[in-house]
Amino acid sequence: MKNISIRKITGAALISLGLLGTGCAKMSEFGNTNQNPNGISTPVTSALLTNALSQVGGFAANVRRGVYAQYLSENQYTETSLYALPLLEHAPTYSGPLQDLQTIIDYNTDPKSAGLAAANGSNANQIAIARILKAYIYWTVTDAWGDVPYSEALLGASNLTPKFDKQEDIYFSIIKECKEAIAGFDNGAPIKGDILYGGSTAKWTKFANSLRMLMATRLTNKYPAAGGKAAVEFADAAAGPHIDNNADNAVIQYPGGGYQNPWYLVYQTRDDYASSKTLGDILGGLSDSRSTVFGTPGPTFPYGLTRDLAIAYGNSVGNAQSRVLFCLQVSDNLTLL
Amino acid sequence: MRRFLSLFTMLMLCGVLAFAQSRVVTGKVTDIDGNPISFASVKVKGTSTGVSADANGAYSIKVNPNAILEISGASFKTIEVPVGTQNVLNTVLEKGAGTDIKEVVVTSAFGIRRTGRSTSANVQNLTGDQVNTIRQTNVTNALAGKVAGAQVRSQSVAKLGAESVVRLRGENGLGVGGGALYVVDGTIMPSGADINPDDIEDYSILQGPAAAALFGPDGSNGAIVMTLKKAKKGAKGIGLELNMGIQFDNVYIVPDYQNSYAGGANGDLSLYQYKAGQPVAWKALDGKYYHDYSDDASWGPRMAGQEYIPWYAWYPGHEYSFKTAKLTPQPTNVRDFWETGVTRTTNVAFSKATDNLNLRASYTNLDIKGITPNEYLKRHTLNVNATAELSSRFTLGVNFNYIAENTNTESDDGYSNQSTGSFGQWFHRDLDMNKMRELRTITSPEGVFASWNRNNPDAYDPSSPRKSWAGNYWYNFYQYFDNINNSIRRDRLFGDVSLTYKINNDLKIKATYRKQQLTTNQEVIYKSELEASANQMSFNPYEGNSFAAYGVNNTFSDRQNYEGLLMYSKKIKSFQINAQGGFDVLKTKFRGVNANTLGGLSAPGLYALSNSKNNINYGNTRNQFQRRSIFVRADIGFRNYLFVEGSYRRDYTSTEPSGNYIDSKSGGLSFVFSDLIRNAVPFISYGKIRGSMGQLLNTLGIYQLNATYGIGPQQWNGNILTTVPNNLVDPALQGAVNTEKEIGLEMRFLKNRIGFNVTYWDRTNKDFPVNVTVDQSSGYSVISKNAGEIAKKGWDITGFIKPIQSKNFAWEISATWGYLVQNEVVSIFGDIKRLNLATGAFSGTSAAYAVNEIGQPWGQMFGGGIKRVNGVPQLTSTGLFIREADTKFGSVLPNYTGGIQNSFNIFKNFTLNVNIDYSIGGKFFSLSDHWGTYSGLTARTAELNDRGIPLRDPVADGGGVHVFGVDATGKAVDYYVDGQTYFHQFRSNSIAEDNIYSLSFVKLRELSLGYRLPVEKLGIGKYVKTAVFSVVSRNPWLIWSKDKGFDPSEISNVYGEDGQLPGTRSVGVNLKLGF
Repeated sequence: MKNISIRKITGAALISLGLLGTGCAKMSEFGNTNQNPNGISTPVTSALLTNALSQVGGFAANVRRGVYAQYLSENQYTETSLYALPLLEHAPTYSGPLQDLQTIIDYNTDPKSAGLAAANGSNANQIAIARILKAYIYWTVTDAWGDVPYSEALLGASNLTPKFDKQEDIYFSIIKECKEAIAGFDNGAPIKGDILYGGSTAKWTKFANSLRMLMATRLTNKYPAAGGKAAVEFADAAAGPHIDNNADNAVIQYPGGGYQNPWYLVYQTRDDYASSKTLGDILGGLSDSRSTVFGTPGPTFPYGLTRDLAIAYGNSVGNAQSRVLFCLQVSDNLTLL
Repeated sequence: MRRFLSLFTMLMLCGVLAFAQSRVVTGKVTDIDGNPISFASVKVKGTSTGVSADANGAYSIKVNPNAILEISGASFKTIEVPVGTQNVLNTVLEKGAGTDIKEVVVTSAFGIRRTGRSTSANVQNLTGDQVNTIRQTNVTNALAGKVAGAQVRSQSVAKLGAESVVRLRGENGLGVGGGALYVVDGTIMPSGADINPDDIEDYSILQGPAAAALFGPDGSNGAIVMTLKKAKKGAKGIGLELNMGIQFDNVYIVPDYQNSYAGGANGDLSLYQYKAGQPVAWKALDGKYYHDYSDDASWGPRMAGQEYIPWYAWYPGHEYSFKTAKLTPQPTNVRDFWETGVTRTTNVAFSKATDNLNLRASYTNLDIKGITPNEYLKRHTLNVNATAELSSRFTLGVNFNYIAENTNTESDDGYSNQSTGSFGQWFHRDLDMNKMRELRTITSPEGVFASWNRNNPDAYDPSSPRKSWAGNYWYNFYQYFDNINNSIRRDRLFGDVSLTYKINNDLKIKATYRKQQLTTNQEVIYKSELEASANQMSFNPYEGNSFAAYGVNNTFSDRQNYEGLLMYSKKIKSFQINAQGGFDVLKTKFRGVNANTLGGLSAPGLYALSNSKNNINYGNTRNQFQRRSIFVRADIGFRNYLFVEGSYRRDYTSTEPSGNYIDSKSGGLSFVFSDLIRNAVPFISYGKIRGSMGQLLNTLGIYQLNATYGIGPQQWNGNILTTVPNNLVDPALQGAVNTEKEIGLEMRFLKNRIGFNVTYWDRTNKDFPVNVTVDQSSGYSVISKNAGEIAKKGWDITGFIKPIQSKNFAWEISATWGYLVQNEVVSIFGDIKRLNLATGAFSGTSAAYAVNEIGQPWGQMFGGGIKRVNGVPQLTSTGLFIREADTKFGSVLPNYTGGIQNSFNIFKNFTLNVNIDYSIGGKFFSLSDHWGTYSGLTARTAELNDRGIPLRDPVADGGGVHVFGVDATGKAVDYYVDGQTYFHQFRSNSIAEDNIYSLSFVKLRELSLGYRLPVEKLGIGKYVKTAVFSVVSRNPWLIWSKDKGFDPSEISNVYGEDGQLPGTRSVGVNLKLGF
């Protein structure tokens, strides 16, 4: 082997190490290695709307609320009826559909992104629909939990501990939201991704007014006077276009496959609920013919039995107790209002 | 005067001459076969001068004339050689029971090796044989008890191929930790899987930043650095070694079940009366009795040998059809389900070492038949390790490892899995498991699978065969396992190619290319027959229901390193300088595609994605990562007894914000004071005091900085769906800072007959990039922020003693003890006091789970407790407990871990190894016990009360559970509570306290008795050079566990278990032959 100068090699090695050591700018540049190829950084607002709408059915179809109101009886594991209450949180609704709707509003409001967002419908229309839907969701949340965050909610990093607002304030705020949203529709491009009304602002207006009417009805115990706040609101909403025949119903049509009617999923592999005797007796006592719509023919199930008594009852009627009818029918449609 | 002067002058001259004659002697220390003795010790007798030979046995030492060199090496006889007039002194040492302990070689990052003497952090070393005592298939399990400060969390043997996790010095982050780093010959492996203990020569365990800072962010949880075996020069024979073993596994530890009451919800047998419309064959059972089948609990009738109709009697086509049986206890039914597992390990290795070439090739075949029916694991491992000296300056190294593995295992130990999910929680205690096995193919006339959990006969409905014949929630267990398949094929390739160039005697440069690649292919089948025979089952892993399913999952992951290393080693006067520096460029890539059917299969029996009833679900994952690092380390030794060392490493990673870099550094001092006092205090053979500290930063996760919008795979009538990601990322996010300090003392006495090594360590981890859960009303559920602090400290102590060292009986004991003094969560973020850490099934209701709470130890178990007043439970007016919300039950981390290894050498040829490991402290939640008690399966639900009457008897008849407590006013009260009501209350009232158990145990984990055949005497010495026959056992004896029913070292999750698979023990034999 040729007599390579050791000094030269050592020198070269040390110099190259030294160069590396100076931390030339190239060392810390990785291009787009850390860019996530599994997602994009700006949302498609129509997809956000579809996502939020895909979940609202769950608010209208809620087994647990049916159990608490004694419409449904648990027929094998009866702890919930006997007050072994699970922790049900209001908060996931906020980081889920409410945040999606708020993002639609933000993207359509911010002048930097409004132009891009307009590809999915006029900015004003998107904002209006998002506001109406937000009001609907907040309405179901406050009806279930009472005082919840509202005015300080959905502000992200600027407020990570939003305060709880009084239900009264929330009710009036969401009524106001509906009113302003109705006024906010414009004649611009119809919205995309609307799986409820296909982008029709007329139908959304009717939905919003009916919502106001329902909210006002809820307030009648607090404001019973004939000229009080509830009555005034009701009259005002009824004066505008509202749902007055079944053709205008707010109906979520589940396409099947990955998206199925939540009532249908209740009985898909389990058999945990039956028509409750409480409801059956009340309907029977009033000779209310809707009992045939609630449950299949068969004996109704007593509410709040302990487990062994529940099993015994089920066995005694040969497991033929009346089951919740709308869970058993295929029903791809779920009516919200 | 003149005479004195001349004498003085003479002496002076002599002195001058003597000084002038002090010179440097060099040489090489080898053994009889010419193999170098690495790091042999060369001392000048009677002085404190001494050096350590290098890895090639070469040394150089300054001596005076007439000096005598004392040369020693581990397991070699020490010799004394007068220096005489030579300048080069090569010595040969003979094998023998040396009184010197082997100079331990510590391996650190980038394959840098140095003496244990010069290492300032606590690094524990184990030889391959110490770890591979009984040829465990899993390297992590084999380390249990042998490393101070390590807690090994294993899994049940029923989970084939499952990984065990090693916690070194407790836990470091606010989330569940990933365990230590595994490094094989410098290549970083993602876990201990695929590492073959048969091929490993030695292990260096680096516990934390002080020792592992050179690994940079990868070293945060410590590192297990392994070196592969190489050929040994001058080995006898042709260099072929054969190692064959077989072990038989049997179920050992299962919970204590009651054997008094049968299945069902009804405490009485029911009378069967035939009704028109039911199958005609059932008339034979008219007038007979049966217990409720459809409820899957065991609150049924007492088993007193009475005549009854067993579940299988209702089905035609076998010899027990339509016949009654006797209702008798079946105490071993759960044990009887599991089969005997068989593990066969065969290893063939060939080694050859010549002057220029060192080659070792090894093939291992691992074949495991699992204890669950139809399950197996088959693995082939090929390892080729070669070093070739191409010339006097160039050395080429090639290290190639290939592992191919095929597994079929469901390994489901979650809630409602179809084995332990039933046995422990929803089961009939009267079931005869042998009949279950024998009748595993019986069906109804329509072909519906028969089940022990069928609906009762009056539910018979000719229009619904499923309702009439199939199980309510559960199948015949054998029939279930016969109709599923989860096969995984894994191919892993790892290794490196390196070229080393010796620039001169002091300087070497090495370039290495490393690769670590894994391809997996998984296919999952849940057969149509299961769907056709399902009522309320939930086995489908994709949907949680009872639809048949087919799924695939293919992944590819690749990791490549380009390393450059410069190594410098020079002795300047009394100082020995070793320095290394270099760079490392890392690129990783991951791609995965998975898909599964939804809604079941359209055409039964066709397992293909095209046959999905609904649109398939699919996923497509990709990620990549790059890192560029430069590093340098150095140690300077003074006369081989005083050392100072330091390391520094800078990493630039693609996951950090642009321009950021991460620094990791360490520094330390060690002083082998025994060298100085050697003559004064001869009974101290070795004494070293050391201190070190290290700091390293973690990197962020891939894409952690960027939250993005994905598109869901299922469209809604052509509309796509997306959602706002739930986590908010702080743009200044960076990795955590981990700082550790250590101080230690190591001493050995009486010619290395007894010794200890004590280390005190203190570590603080701050500013984790933690996903802090925030109030979701803000719109986000987590914010990724740098926050939090964990403070931990503890002691790592190892010791050994050789009590008896005679010719025919030698006994050596090594012990390790790790004491985790503190592992506390100091702060989290803002006002947040508690973060969920690990949750299992039912943690939203009645189960306990693990949280990290400020001021508490890491991993605090948390849940519903029993309200007590001055230690006495407060009772309701019906004698039931009252729930105390937010109760803390104790940390999941043990306080003490360790082990004791005993090695006996008897009559020269027999070797007995008895290895014990233990863990004291720590708690877990048992969901099996929670539901098992609710269902009347556990032993305590069927005991006698204090009146001597079965507690399940009605209270009016003297039965019931006698409960003592106080009422709301504090007055002492007591009640007899109905048995079922009492045991139902914990689930109904969300009380987890009754099911919190201790993780403490002492276990005899490894037992091996080996006999070295005297091949010469047997006359086969010409062909066979060594032959060792051993009898081995794994987990032979769980000596003590605070709570029974589970093996605490195998609890499957951090918070506890949801359906724990059983603990096993094995017995086997092994034959090792060398040719």
